[in-house]
Amino acid sequence: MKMVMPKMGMTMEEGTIADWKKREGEFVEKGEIILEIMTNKVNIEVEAPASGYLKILREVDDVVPVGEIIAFIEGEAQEATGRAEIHRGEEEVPWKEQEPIPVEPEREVVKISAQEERIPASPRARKAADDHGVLLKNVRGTGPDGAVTEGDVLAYVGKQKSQEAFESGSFSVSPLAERIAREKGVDLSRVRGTGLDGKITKEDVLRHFEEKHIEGRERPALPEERKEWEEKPGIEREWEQEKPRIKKPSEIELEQAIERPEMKPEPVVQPLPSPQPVSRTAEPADVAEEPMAHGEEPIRHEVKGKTIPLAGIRKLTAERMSRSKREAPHLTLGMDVDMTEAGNLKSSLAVTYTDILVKAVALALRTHPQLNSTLMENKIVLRDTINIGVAVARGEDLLVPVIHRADTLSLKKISQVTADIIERTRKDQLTEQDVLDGTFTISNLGMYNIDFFTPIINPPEAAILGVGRISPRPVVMKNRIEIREVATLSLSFDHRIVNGVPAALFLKEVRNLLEHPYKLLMEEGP
Amino acid sequence: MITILGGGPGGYTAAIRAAQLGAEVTLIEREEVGGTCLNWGCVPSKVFLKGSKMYSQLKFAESYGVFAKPSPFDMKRLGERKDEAKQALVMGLKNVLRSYGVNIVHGEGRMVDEHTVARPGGNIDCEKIILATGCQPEVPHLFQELSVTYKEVFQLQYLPRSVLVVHGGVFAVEMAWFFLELGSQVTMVAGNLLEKDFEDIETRIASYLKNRGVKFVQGRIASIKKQGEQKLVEIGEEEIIAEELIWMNRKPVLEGIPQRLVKNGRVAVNEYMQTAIPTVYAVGDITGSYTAGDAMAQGVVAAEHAAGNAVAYDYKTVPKVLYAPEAAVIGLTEREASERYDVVKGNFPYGASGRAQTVGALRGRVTVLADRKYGEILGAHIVGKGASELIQLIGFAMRLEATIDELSSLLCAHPTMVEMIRDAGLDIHGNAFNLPRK
Repeated sequence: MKMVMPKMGMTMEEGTIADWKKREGEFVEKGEIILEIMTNKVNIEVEAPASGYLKILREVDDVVPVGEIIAFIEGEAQEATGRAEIHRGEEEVPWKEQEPIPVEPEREVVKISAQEERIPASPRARKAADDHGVLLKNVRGTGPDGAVTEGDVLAYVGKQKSQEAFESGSFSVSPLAERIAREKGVDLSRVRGTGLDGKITKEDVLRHFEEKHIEGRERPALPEERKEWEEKPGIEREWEQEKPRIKKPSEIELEQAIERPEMKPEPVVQPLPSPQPVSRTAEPADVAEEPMAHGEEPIRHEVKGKTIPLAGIRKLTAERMSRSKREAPHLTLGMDVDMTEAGNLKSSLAVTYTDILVKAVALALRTHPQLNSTLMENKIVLRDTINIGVAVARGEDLLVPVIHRADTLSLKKISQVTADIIERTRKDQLTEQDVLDGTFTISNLGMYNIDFFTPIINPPEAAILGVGRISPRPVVMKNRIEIREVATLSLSFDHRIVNGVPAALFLKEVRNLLEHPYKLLMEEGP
Repeated sequence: MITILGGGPGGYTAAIRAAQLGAEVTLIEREEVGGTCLNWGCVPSKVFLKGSKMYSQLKFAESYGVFAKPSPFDMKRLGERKDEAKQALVMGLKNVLRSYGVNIVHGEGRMVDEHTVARPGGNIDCEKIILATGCQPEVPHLFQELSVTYKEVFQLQYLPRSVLVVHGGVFAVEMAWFFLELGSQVTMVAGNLLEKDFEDIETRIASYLKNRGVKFVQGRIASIKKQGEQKLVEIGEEEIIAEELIWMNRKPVLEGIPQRLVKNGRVAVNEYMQTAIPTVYAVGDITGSYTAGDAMAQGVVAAEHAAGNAVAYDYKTVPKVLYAPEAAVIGLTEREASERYDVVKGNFPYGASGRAQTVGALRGRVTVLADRKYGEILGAHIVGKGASELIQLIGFAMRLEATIDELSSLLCAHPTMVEMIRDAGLDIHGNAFNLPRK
C-alpha cells in the first residue's frame, strides 16, 4: 500500500518529513503513529493507513509535495528490502527452501538484476563508491526512491572494513564504539584503540571522526577550563563547584578538535545528506536579496566558518521567504501613527499594543477585503474570514500563530487568545490548528527598538503590516508642537493583487482606528 | 621507590598495585592499616547494620511463620562481632601487603620535599610519593566534649534511646538507619541529606527515613547543654533532646602537605591523580571524595601512572552505594545526562519482580539512562534490596561500553533480582517482559 504526503490544510503544498517513528522494515499497525510531518512550522503526527512492513522512500528533512509517495506498507512476503541479495547468494541452503512462498524471492531477484543497470545514486555517492572501490549495487540506499547516498557508501565501507578486520582478528572494539563507527561511517581499521589491549573505545572513534572532519573548520578558542589545564599541569579538579570532571587521556589529545565528545556526541558539521544539496531552493535567476537566501554553488566552496545545517524551521523559512520575494512584487508604504490614545486604552483595559493592533487591522480588513485575499493562478480570492497571524520569535526561529476570525472577537477576547497563543508558541506547544489559514500577518519589532522595516509577505497572503517602536516624538497639533507617542507602520503588499491607492486607504483606516481606539470597543461583535 | 603516606583503601590499593608492577614500596600508617574503611567506617558500619537488620527483621518474620521475641539489644556483643570482622580483615590485608614485599612502617610520616619523606627513625628518599592521608572527625571545639564522633559511635557500650545525627551523606544516613531499626528515636540535622551523585533518589530516601520516624531539622547548632543523662541541643528555633549526639562531619588530613598542593581545602589532582608536583600523587579522601570505592580506583590509577602506565581515572563508572536504606547510583544523574545527551529512560519497579516478591522486597525501583541515538548507557540509579550489588552489573556494562541493547539481551536465571536490570533496559523501548504493554 502506498503512503503519500497528506494534505493537512488548505494552503499546504508540501511537507517536510520531521521524524520517522518506525524503522525501515519494521512492522507497523494500522492507526499507529509512524511519522511526523512538519508543515507551516508545526509538526503533525501521521498514522499508518494499514498494517504491514514499512518501506521508507523519503528520508527525514526531505521536502515532499502533497500527494507524492513517501513510503510503502507491504504485506509479509515483501517485508525486507535487502533480502533479495541474501536469497540470491544462499539459494542452495536447505532451510531456505522451506520458505512458504518460493515465488517471492524469485521476483525480487529479477527486480534487483534489473536495477543493476541503473542504480539510483547521488553524484557524491558515485564518487565515494569509486574512491573506495565499492560496487553500488551492494550498497543499500536510504535516499529518495532508495537512491544510494554518500553516507550509505561510507557506512558500507566502514562496515566492510570492520568486518574484515574482525575476521582477521587484528583489533577489538566495544559495542558502543562499533555502533557509533557504523553510523558515522568511520573505518575502524584506521582507529587507534586506547582501551584494554588496544581495544577501540567510543572516545577513540569520536576522536578519529573529529580529526577527519577538522579540515575546513576554523579552530575556535579553547574552552577556558582547558587553557587552565595547559598552563598548570597537575592542577585541574575543582571539587567545590561541581562534580569532578576528570579528563580522559584521549580528551587531552583532542586539543585540536572543536568540541569535546563528552559534551556533545554529535559534531556540528554533519556530512551533508547528498541527494538534496542545499541549492534546491536557490534558483539561478533569483537575486539573493534576503539574508537567509543561501549562497549559490560557486560561493559555497569559499565560505569558511561554522556551519549550521539548513534544516527544519530554518529551511522552511528560507524557502517561503525566497518564494514570496520571487513571486510577489512587494511594495511597502510607511505611515506615522499617533499611539497616545491607544496607550491610554492599553493601560485602562490591561491589554497589549499587539491586541489593539490585531483588532484595528481586523476591522480595517473588513472594509478593505483586497488586502485579505489570496492570488490563485488567474483569480483573486477574497477570503471569507479574517485570520490575523502574529509573528512570534521562539529562540532563533520565527513562528506565526494565527488568531482566527479576529474581527468577530472583542478586544478582551483577542487579548486572552493572543496571550495564550504566544505563551504556547514560546513553550513549543502549538498545534496545527494554531498556524493554519492565516489571511494577514502583523510583525512587531518595536520592542527591539526598530523604527521602520520592510516586512516580507507571508505567502499566500496579500499583505503584511510591520510595526515599529512607539516613542515620544514632537508632533504639530493645531499649530503647536506637542510630544506624542508615535509609531511608524509599514505595510508591504502584493502589487499583483492591490494597487498603491487602496493599500494607502487601508493603512489610513488602520491609523484612524488606532488614533481613535474607542471605536474598537464600539464595533465589537459581528 | 614509591612511598605511600596512609594505609587506608587508597593507600593500600596503591601499594599493592605498585608492588605488582615491580616497584619497591614503603607504606607509612600512623594508626591502623585499613584506614577509616576497615576500622571506623565501611566495615564496622556494615556489621552494625547486619545486627540491626536481624533485630528488625524479627518483626517481619511472623508473616513467614517465624515467631520469636527479641531480647534487649546487646551493643557490647555487636561491638565484639564488629571487632572480629575488622581484625580478620586487617590481618588478611597485612598478609597481602607483606606477600608483595611492601614495607609497612608504623608511625607518623611527613612529606619533606618532593623526593623525601620523614618518618620515625630517619628520612626516606623516594622517586614518587603517593599521599593517601585520609580524613578525620571534624567537630567544633566547643561541642567536642558532649558529642560522639563517627569513630566513637562504634565504641558505644549501650543502645541510646534517642540520637541526633549531625551532617548528611551516606555514612550519616546509614548510622541513622541503624538506630532506627533498633527502635531509637532519630533526629537528623543536615543541609543535604546525601551527596550530589544521589540527587535522583534523594527525595525517595528522605521519604523512607521520614516514614520510619526520622525527624529532620534544618539550621545551625547554637548550643549543647547537658540535662541529666541527656543533651539539650538548640538548633535555630528548635530544641532537641537526645541521649547521644553523633557528629558525622569529616575533614581531609592535610597536616604536613605543602600548601601549594591544596586548593579549596583539598589536594588538587589531574586525571592521573598527579598533584601540582608531578612526582607527588594524591588519592582518596584528601582529593575530596569520601568513598572507599573512589579511593581504591584512584589508588590503582596513581600506582599505574607512577610506574609509567597512563591509565586515567574514570569517575563515572565507579558506583556509589548507600547500604541502608539500600540504594546505589552510577554514571551521570538525569540532570547531567540531559544536559549533554538526548536521554531515554527505562524503569522497573521492584513490585513487578518475581524475586523481589518472594523475599518481600516490594519497595524499590531500577532506573537506567541511555543515549537515544547510540544506546550508550549513561547512568543508573537503583533503590531497593540488593541495589549495592545490582549496580555493579551496570558498571561492568559501562566499562565494556556495552550499549543498552547488550544490557537488555542479558539471559538470567529466574527468579532473580538481576532480571530487573534487563527489564529496565528493555523498558526504554516499552518491551519489558514483566511490565504491561505501554
